[in-house]
Amino acid sequence: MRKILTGVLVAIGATAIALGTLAACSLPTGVQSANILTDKLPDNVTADGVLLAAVILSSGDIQAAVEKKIVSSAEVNQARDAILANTLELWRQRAEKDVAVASQ
Amino acid sequence: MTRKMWIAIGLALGLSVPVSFVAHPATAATSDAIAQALVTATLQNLGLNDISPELSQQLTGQLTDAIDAGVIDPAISAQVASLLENPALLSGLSDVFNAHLEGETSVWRASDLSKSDSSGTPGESSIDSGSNSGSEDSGEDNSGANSNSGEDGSGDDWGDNVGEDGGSGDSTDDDSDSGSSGDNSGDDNESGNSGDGRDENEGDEGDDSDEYEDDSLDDDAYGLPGPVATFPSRLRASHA
Repeated sequence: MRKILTGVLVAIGATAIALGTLAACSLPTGVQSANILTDKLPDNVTADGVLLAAVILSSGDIQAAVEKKIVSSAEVNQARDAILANTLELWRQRAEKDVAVASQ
Repeated sequence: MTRKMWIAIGLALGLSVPVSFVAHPATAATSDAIAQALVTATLQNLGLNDISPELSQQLTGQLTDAIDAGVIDPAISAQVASLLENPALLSGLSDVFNAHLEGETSVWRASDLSKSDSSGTPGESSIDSGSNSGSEDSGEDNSGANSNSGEDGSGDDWGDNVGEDGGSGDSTDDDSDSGSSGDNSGDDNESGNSGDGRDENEGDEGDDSDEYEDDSLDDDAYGLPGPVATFPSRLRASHA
């Protein structure tokens, strides 16, 4: 009986560790998420600018876009890093929040 | 007198027809529709499906300006325009977007403009840890990246990217070819084997050929939908 109980506890522990590891790998860290969602952005970065940079990276000439001041270099770097780090969704949430605040 | 009258009529027609065409609501609406479809399709391709109408409208307005400024690839705009009547088919452009994203990111990474960013942005420590390791790689891969941008020079960007859109693997091949043909062959081995920076995180310490096999595993780590998940790994492969 004790062996069974121990086995169940070990299995639960192993599952929890595995799930925790997977979650940590696939999601942005909590600190990072909080930073993107809540921190004050630099003057040359806007959340919608980061999304626009992502769109232009997928369909246009990003250097020309920076040269014509449609997006900033910082926004392009953030967009590139967000795509690689899977944090673009956080930038969308930040942009939604900023748009809502601006429209009030 | 008659001659002057005809000249005046000709000038008036010559001016009024183009002006009325540009100002025509249908033309303006089409431009907006292309921008809106482009915003939706590219962001969906990047895994963003829940864009609010307000944010979509804002991005559409900004992208319309970008289209007017000639920043958007005309071939992609034309493809999007041709699919406007059947928006469901826009998802078929994911290969086009991914190939373009790959090429633009490579060019951007090698450009001086990307290094002029001095902002401290949210999530800087965690996000930039990736880009810093990337910059280490780009230091070694600069010859490859530069030769690539040379081949794909700004004048040829549209043609090359669109031409290779159908086979995203082609662009990867081109990159690796240009890297190996130049001084970069030695650097490739260094970045592949030493595993510094981002390579270290991937655990790709094997030879370069294994990286393509490892891509599928890396894709899972990003937890993104198919087309998006393939991009970062392919990008890494192209810089290897």
